[in-house]
Amino acid sequence: MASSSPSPSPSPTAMKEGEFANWAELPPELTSSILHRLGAIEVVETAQKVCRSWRRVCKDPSMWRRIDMRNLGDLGDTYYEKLCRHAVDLSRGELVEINLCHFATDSLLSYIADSSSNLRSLKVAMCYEITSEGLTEAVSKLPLLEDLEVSYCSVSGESLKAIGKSCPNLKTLKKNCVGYKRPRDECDDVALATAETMPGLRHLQLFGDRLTDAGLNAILDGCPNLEHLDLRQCFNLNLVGDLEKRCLERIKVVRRPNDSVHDYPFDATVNDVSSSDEDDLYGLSDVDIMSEDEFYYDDLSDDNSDFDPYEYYY
Amino acid sequence: MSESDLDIMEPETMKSYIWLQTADGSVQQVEQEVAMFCPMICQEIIHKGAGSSKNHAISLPQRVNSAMFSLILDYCRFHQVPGRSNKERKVYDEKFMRMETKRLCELTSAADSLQLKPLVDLTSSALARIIEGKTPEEIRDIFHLPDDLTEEEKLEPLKNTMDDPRIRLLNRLYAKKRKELKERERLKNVEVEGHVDERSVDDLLSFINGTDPKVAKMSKGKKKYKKKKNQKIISSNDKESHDLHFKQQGVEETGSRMRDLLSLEDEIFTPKAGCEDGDIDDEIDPAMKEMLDREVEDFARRLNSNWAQSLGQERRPVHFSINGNNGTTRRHIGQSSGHN
Repeated sequence: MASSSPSPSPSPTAMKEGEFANWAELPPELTSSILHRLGAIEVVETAQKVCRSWRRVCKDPSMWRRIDMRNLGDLGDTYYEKLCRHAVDLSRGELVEINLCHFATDSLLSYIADSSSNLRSLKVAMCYEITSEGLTEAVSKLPLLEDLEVSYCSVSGESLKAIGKSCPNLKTLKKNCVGYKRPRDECDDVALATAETMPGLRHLQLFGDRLTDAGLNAILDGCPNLEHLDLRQCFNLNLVGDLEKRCLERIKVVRRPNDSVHDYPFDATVNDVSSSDEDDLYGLSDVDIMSEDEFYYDDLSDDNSDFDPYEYYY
Repeated sequence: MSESDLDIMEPETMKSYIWLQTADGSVQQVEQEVAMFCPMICQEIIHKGAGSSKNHAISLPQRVNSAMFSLILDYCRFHQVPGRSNKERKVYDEKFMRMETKRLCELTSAADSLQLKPLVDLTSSALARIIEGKTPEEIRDIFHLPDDLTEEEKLEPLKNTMDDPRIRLLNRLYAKKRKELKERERLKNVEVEGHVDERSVDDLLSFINGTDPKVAKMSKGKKKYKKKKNQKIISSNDKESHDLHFKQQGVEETGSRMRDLLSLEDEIFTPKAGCEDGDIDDEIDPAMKEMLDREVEDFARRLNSNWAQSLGQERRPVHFSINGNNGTTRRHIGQSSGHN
């Protein structure tokens, strides 16, 4: 066996001590897996321009089966939409999973749905341009969908019903929004839509939802296969007694309304009107655009608390 | 892996070892539980019963040399211990990843060939972190990758915020440059590979025969001559009339005709310096040249056969060059020196 020499000398054999890191040893599948970790933007703007073999890998549909466009910088929504369309094109119909934050629009969803009928997982979060109609329309073309997230987007109960009917294979639904500590308008739209149209559901996350006990019961009736139920910050619920028992006996993992949010991927700041320790009274100073509730501001005038939060802003 | 398999493999000693041989020939013993952490080794042991003795050492894949294997064994030795916490493992992994980029590449390759997925993930992420945020040139430098893309391929811009006038200007410049590159490529192809001439035979013939306006620059005299002769030579496909024609004329005349043909060709097809100057369209020349070459060769063939027949002598193939023999072409005719 060759003795390890202290000074590396350039050698044609890949195995011997050489001067350079040699990428050439890696098979294309491995190159693909490594470059995929860079994310869509860097693959298109940088990795593809390094050399011919990388270019080939970057243009291959297998690189684009899973597209993750979250945590983007400030390059502008137009650019991101353009890049997303380009990425979808490169997938050549093999798209399986796509994850978008902020910049998605109805037309982009439509574009994705038109070319990727095999899509299994669609996740959109904080996309304020998306409408219920747009979403319904797009999802109607994705019959194989198993995993859907529409957090912090405006999606009506009706839309969810239509979605449930379009996607019989749906196993995961996440519809998260901002939680409200004070008992407010109750709304079981989401809960009922889920209960009625999504019998195959295994994982359900309704962070911050306004459902009531009735809604929860409906879910338990309509979704017998539930394994994972996340009800954090659903402050209208009163998870005690029979209801609690029902949940716990059938479902493996239940996250209760007041459970820890340390592993929640989004901002879990609660909108708490009655809190007196916060200087920021209503979260108005960080303009809360995550709310899907159009009655949000009207509620302030109905407020019975001692504070008139607006007072501070006049 | 079933317990019975374990029983079969373990001898009566306290700890069992597996024999392994790396690509560069070194053979070593490794504790069984450590070695089995690698799926590839596991499979070799279970399905082929290998590794039980020095003579039956498991041959490791080509991409695994001693140095890398040693590292991998360290990794396996740590992680195969069941009692460790997630945090412990994470801390170890972070420390483990601190190595030169070169080693990282080798390690990724080796781990991949041993199917050790957790380590492949670890090294892959580390490599991605190195690549992240760098320019293509920097990446090429670090990983010794060839600079083998065309300028055009390197210029594919997607970033296109239309509101910035500077970006718009840049895009226009890019578009212009790309257009230039395309033009250059197209012209290069025309010169080098020849050009698929899609014009009809009639068009070509009319060009040869001088009715094409582009050929107007030729002197009238030659034009007429060429027209007459070429019509006879090229448009006529009738071998009979051809033969007759030559028999009648005799060799000298044929020779001079050939000469004229060749000199004419030279005049037309002397390459002009640069495309901008020439009146002659660059696209036409190579195709014409080819056609004329063919005709001349055909002519020569026919000449040979005719002489053989008419002169009753052993054929001596006509040798002449198409290019650059301006008017000096003379063939050795008919001397029966028996050349094959």
